[in-house]
Amino acid sequence: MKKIAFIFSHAPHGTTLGKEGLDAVLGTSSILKKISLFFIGDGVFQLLKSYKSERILARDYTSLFSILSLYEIKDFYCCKLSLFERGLNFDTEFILQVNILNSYFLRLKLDDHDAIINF
Amino acid sequence: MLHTLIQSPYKTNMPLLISILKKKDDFLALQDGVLIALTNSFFLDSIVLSSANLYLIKEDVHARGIINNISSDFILINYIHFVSLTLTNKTQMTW
Repeated sequence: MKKIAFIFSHAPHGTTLGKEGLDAVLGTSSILKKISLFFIGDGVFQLLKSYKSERILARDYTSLFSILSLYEIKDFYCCKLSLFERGLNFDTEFILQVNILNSYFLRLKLDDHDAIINF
Repeated sequence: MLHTLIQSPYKTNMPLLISILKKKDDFLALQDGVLIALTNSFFLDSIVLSSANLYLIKEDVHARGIINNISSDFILINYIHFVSLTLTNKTQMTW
């Protein structure tokens, strides 16, 4: 069974990449069980609790990340440097139980996977 | 001059933007551009040092769930105010 890594590297709502990535994860989960999600760069903002996306007439899809556990997807990783560069830290409230890793360990985790899909 | 930042600052040539920014310029960040105003973020100090007037579109800040992480150096405005900024500035530069 192949292991797939989905990488999120864009902020939500400015582009549709985040929502498309999440749809791809849900679609893939019906075929494959070994899925991990990585949040790097601006992708870390996908993890924030955004409450008011309706103010720019965008659907708040990010709350759907929290249902991934129902699909037995539990491996979530986040880049520590990306967090700190953006003024976030370990105390920030995230919608998922993410493992915060430095670049070296993040790269090691990525090497564990057979395919990488970037959103 | 009015500068508008629409993309995330991490996807923009920020050193170039800041070198072109003059005192008394108006700088407005909207859409993913609002990420520039995050407290303790990488670009915040340099944009504040430019002494331009810094504005953010309120709706975009709320939508991204970062309303509590925004530097007080920025003024939150609505779209009506955005229109007045385009009227008061002779030229506009989009980044």
